[in-house]
Parts: sequence; C-alpha cells; structure tokens
Amino acid sequence: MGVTREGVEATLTSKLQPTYLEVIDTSGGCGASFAVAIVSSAFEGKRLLERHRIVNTALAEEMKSIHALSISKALTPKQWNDQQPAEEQKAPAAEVQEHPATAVV
Amino acid sequence: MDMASAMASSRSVLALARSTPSPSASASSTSGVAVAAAAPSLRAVRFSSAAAFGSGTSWTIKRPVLRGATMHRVRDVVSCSLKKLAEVELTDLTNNPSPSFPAAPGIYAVYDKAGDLQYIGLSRRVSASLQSHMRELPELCASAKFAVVDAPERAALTDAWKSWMEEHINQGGNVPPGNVSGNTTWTARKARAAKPEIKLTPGAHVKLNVPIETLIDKVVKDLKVVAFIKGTRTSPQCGFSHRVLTILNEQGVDYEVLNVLDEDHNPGLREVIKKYSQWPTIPQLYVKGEFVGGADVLDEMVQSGEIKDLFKN
Repeated sequence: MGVTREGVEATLTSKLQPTYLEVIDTSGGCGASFAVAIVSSAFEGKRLLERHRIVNTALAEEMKSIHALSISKALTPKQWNDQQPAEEQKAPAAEVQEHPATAVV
Repeated sequence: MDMASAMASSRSVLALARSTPSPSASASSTSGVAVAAAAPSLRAVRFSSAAAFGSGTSWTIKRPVLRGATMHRVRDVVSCSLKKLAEVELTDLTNNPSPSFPAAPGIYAVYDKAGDLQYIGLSRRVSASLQSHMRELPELCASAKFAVVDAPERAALTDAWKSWMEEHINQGGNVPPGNVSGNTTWTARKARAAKPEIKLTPGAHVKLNVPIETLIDKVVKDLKVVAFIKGTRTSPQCGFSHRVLTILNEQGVDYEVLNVLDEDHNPGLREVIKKYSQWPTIPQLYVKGEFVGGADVLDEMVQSGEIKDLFKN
C-alpha cells in the first residue's frame, strides 16, 4: 500500500496543526508525488528553508515512499491572512464564458 | 533547449509561411465541408486574457457538438486577437541592465542596435529565453518585444509565433537571420557555451581513497554556487532540476553542476547528498558553502525577491 493523500493530510494535521492545508496527489493517484500548501503557527519565526525542513521532517516516514514532494506554500497564519485580500483582488489570468450553441450551415 | 530552438532546428520558416493558407482559402475550405442533414451545432467558448492580448481582447475556439447525427469533423478554428508585432512596445536591453520579462509562456522578437529584427522565438518561459540570449549574444540583443500566450500548449505558442513571423514578412521584411533554416546562432552557441558538469571521480574504474562525503564537502565549500541535480546542465532529467537551472540562468550567475545520476563518476552521490544536507530530495542548491534548498525554496525566493540578495558578492 503506497502513500495516500489522506495519509499525508492526516500526518501534517497531527504534527503541525495547520489552519489551512491542501494536499494534491500529482501522480494521478498512485501516491508517488504530492504538492502541499500549508499554513501553520509552527512556522512562526522560521525562515523559508526551515519551514520546508519542518514539513519534510513531519513527513519523514512518507518520504521513504514518495518520489517527489513539492511545497508550494509554507506560511504563518498572519502571512496567509495578509495574502488573501491581495489574491482575491487579482484578476484571473483567463476567464471562460459559455456562449449559446451556433449552428453550422 | 527552448521551443524556439526546436522550431529553428526542425522546420523551414519560409516553408511555414508558404504552407499557411490565406484567410479566403481557409474560409473556402470551411464552407466546403459536408455536414449531415440534422445540422449539429457548435459551442463557442470564449477566453479572455488581458495579460496575453491586452485589455478587452479575446480569442474563441469553436468545437463541433454532436446531437444525434454523424458529421464530418470540422477542423478546429482558432481565432486569435494576439497583439500585432508592430503594436508591441519595444523594451530597451542595452541601457536597462535589469529589464523585466514575464516568466510565462510566450513569444518574443529580438532586435540589434540598428533596429533590425534578428530573431523571433517562442518559449515556455520568456524571461529565461531572453535572459539567455542577452547573456549568450549581447552584440545582437539591443532591444526586444514580447507577448505572453496564456495557453502553454505547443500549438498555441506555434500559432502565435507564426502570426508574428507572417506579419513581419507581409510588411516587407525578410526572414530574421536567426530564423533562417540552417542558422544555429541562437541555439548552437548556447550549447557550446555550456560548462561541463563536475565529476567527483575520474570514472568507475577508480576506487576512492577518501569518503565521498569529503569530496562533497570540498566542492560545496570551495565553489560559490553548486547545484546537485538529476541530469546535466543541458539535459536535466526532472522538472524540479530544470526549474533550478532555469532560475540560476535567469539570475545570470556562474554556477557548477553535479549530476547525481552519473554513477560512473559520482558513485553513491544521489543518496549521500541527502544525508549530507539532511534534505530528502534532489535538486539541492548550495551558495557560498550554505545549503539553500530545492526548487520550491528557490521559487519562493524568486517570488519574494530574496533571490537577488542570495547571489550578492
């Protein structure tokens, strides 16, 4: 049995008590690679590299089976809150709009 | 190699220009397609992107929708409002030591000091490509134009690139020298300039008299910037290693590379480096003897601006 997204979530939740956590299996479900975005007070006062180490350490057991781990966000709750209004105001890069069907004659 | 290099090495630009049907020919071809009596409908999906096409512009893809009838598939028609080459603002490269380029998929055009168009390229990361050209061919890079293409698919980039090339030719210009078939100025020089990777041993036939950890430590501490990656500088074997190389190239720093997959010259390096750094993944970057991190850390440093301080002095 390989590593699962649920397992990674459970481990990070247990060890880091995140206020926000997103785990994506980027290997199509086979548990070989994951992308993580996490917000936790455990990162207070920690530099970027240290935060990534904290996540890596928390997932030490899972890392034995994981081929690749990408940590896209490792933020403190304050940093996360500060980012939210700015990101919400940013216009989406692309907008998809459906139009009525058009017949071809 | 970016996509522009692949295009330049594999296809004749003139042939591409000739092979593209005229608007009237395209319309004629479309109107001639037979359809079943129960005319199926088309669903139009509109994409709007200010970054790619300027405020308020859009492009539309029309795809057939089958409703109870078989039809001959109409070739997908892509109508694009990409800003014309002539309308894009010129960015000076000579008097601006740190021009800002988008780290996004797109197309670009490079001009020399006389204002002559030297090369039109396409890239999944415009900033990396332009920075590379500025570094490799400074005598040909006086100014540039670029446009972001939101759709990173090869077809979309190629279409955008064709659009600019055709526009330039239709305006009476010649095919840019760098795009002429057989001209490898914009690709070969980069390949020739690539530094060789550092090898910890002469080869598999040589037994080490010192632990590999000692060799790693010496390399890390003696050299200013060292990247341990999967693959080589010109042929990284994983996306994360490619990202680290891209960032280093964008920053224009001089750096060394060790290929952890080269077991002949770097036996056991792939696992030993993880213990050395207490970091579980590859790639790993060291600057001035200190471990910096992997691809994600570097990405965040780029976004936060810390990356500039990293390579000072």
